Amino acid sequence: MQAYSKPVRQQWACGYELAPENGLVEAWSGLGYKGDPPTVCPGYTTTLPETIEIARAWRWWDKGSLDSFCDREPINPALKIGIELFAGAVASFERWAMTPADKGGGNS
Amino acid sequence: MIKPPSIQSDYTLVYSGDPSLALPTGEREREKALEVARETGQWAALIIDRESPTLFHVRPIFGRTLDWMISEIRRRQMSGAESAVLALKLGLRSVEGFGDHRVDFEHVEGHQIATDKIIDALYAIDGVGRDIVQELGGVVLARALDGLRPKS
Repeated sequence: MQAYSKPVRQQWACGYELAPENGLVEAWSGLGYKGDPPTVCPGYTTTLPETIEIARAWRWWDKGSLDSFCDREPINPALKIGIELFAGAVASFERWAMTPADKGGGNS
Repeated sequence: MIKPPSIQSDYTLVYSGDPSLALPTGEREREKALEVARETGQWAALIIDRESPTLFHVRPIFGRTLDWMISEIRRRQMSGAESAVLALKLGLRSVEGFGDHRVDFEHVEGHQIATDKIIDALYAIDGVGRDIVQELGGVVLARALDGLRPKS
């Protein structure tokens, strides 16, 4: 893995770094993402413990076993919302991945 | 053991003024370091070698307990400080590294809640007791009320 300098990470809105003094940041986005521009590098947000928890829960939810994932305890509604958002993002990515590159997709 | 932030399961809080932490001196840098540690659960880089901070293990508050907490705050017209204490009492599961102190529980209207004993012990810490309770309670309360806190 290539290590980038602190100024470069700041410019890319790395979650571990303070925003640069000039406030000019541009977080990377791609792979068909069409939502609002990210304000924090996805490398940070996608590895946060709660994001990983939602991704793991989604796997269990997809198999109809969310209850087991939650040890049969009451399920936090926030987790369900997270799963719904995650499932939407997965479907959106899959659509993009299947769309030919000449039509704006990622299938080349 | 520090448990990372979680939506569903217990997680660990560390008081920002814990003497085992070596935080940057600049205010912006200090706040950023705390923000990252709270979001990622990665406190190791901030902990002084061979020292251990006091760990507060808490549970997320949601569902019936959240509704009850909100109703209690309204019924009793609690101040922000009182609300933070109630949230901490409802969320707190155990404390690690706080002498012989332990968390005892009682049940109020079907909800498990820490007794005043641990809160009083925290308040009794010279100079910072109130800060500790308010900071930790504030985090538990905010997480309960905000649900998901999207960061994109």
